[in-house]
Amino acid sequence: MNLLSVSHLHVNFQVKQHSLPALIDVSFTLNRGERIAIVGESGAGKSVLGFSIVNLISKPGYIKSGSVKLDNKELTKMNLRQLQEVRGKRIAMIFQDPMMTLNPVLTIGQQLVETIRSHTKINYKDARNITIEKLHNVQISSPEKRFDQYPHELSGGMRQRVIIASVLLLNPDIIIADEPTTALDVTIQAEILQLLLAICRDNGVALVLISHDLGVVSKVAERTLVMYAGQIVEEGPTLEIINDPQHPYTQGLLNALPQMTLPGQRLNQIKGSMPSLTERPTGCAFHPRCPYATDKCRQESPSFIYSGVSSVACFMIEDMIDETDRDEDEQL
Amino acid sequence: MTTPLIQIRGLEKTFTTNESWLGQWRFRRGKFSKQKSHVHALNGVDLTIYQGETLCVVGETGCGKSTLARVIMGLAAPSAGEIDYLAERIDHLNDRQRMFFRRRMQMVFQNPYASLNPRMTVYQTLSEPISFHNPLFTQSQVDEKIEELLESVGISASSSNRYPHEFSGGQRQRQRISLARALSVEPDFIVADEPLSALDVSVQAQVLNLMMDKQEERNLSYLFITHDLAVVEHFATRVAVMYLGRICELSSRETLFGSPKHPYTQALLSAIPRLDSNTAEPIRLIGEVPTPTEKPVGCVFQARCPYANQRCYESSPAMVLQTDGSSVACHAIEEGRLWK
Repeated sequence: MNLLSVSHLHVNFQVKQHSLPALIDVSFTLNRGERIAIVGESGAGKSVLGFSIVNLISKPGYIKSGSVKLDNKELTKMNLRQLQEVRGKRIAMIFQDPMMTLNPVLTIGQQLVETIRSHTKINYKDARNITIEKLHNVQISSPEKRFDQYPHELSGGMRQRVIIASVLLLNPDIIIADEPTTALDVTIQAEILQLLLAICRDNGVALVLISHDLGVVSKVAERTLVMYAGQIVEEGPTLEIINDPQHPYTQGLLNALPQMTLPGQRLNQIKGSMPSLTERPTGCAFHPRCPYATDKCRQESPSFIYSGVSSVACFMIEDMIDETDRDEDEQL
Repeated sequence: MTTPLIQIRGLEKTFTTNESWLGQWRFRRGKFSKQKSHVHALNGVDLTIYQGETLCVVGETGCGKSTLARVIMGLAAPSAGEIDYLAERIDHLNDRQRMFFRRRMQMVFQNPYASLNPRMTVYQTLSEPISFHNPLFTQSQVDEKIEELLESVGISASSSNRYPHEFSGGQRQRQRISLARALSVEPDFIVADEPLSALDVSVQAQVLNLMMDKQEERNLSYLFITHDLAVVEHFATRVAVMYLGRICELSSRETLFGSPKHPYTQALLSAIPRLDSNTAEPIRLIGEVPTPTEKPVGCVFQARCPYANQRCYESSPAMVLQTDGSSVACHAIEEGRLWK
């Protein structure tokens, strides 16, 4: 049985009289201990998806329809008290900027101990011991000293480690990491990614990694979902997606990486930019930027189809599969 | 490529952390004492930028890359050292004398949301530098110039009366406007301080292409500051690797990525997230960049270097030209402990 299953999730944002769709029919599952990645440009709805898993969507956004199930328990219909049991304890989140997540006027220790004690009945001394142990687990040097320090006394990489430690305090089943390394240097990024990977492997924690960088994703995730304008356009094993991208958008994202072109040559850019919520194109949302768009793409929106490598929502792939089927039928 | 445009010799920059007179007093053990503490951001940087090339400066946060950019641009005064622009010394000029050089050198900043004035339309943003530096321009000449500029960076001239927040393209359009502003006075040298780090991968490609086009059109020189080595590999002519206010390796792009020499460069290169999964494990550096409050004795990298020995703790290595044209500051390479 799946640990987490999201099915046909629609999230809208209410702006004056209009209800604008931010997520459209998003479905995926996550097994125990599995690591998946959600990739896309900014504005694709990656973070909205991350937030709506734990029902953290606040006004003007709301979950219009669909379900998010954790161990077959519906999260979208829970009240605040029930949700509090899930947030942090079962599903924990890591955000992009550690300085924004940590409270600047409390010491590291105060914040972490508070996290444990608000969820479990435990005395201060035990909570302190657990905290120091977890800080040690994320390779922070002299955790006893750090315990009494304030966030501004630590470096960026160190702060992100503290956040990872805080997430581990309650032994969650799922960690949602929303661009955890975007604010960090390359060397620190590599260390944090290795740490996340090691922690998930050792403790059997499932990971949802949200990122715009396919290079980062390829190191960590087993499965990748590519999002565009609130929809999942491609889903499959990370290696397959990187070696053989099917959807034109995934191809564009990969080709835009500097290492895909010879040094000094022009980079392959995707023309145009992500549509805003108010000006969503008809048909396939990607058609204004797609080099292969036809009239059909402008009118109808494609449905998910398995291409043999990954699941793709694209008419071009659909037609290709139809053709090969016809050829096979004729041969028979 | 052969004429040196900017020459920097022995550049140093020290910041005082407690600037005010009152802030310098400490009360300890019943006594008042006065002390000043300093941060040494640049510790003797020698660098030459040639005409028409892209010099990339890479390094981690806190290594002094941005300070270097600001000192070259004259936004901060150097504590010691010289900066030459086409063999003319510019680091000690006052504002009026510097005005001519401000036209020749421009800067693009990291965050297009913070560096564009939200209360000025694109037209106002661009017309200010143009009419300031060309006081004889008539209104129609300024209009013509702005139209031409906007077209050249791929923004339609009809949108010149919009405010930055009105552009649907968000970050992409803003960074284009920043670039247009830098180009508006027709400089021949642009300092770009992490211009891509706030941008998505696909937007990065667009801005980078635009910068390359402009370089070709106008024979621009870039000083490109970044921590993203994938971009450097693509864009640079030469690369300078910086650590704690010193340059530890300087070589052409091919040499640097083909055979990195300095231990720090090797660690940096191994940390790039590559797409293929069979690359080697990244070399882990112990610790993080220290804040240089004391002027470092010995090699700046000694605390994190796996090859450090007694000599590295005592004396600072000088830049030595290697056989393949790169310059490296490292005792271990000099002595042949590494790479021989």
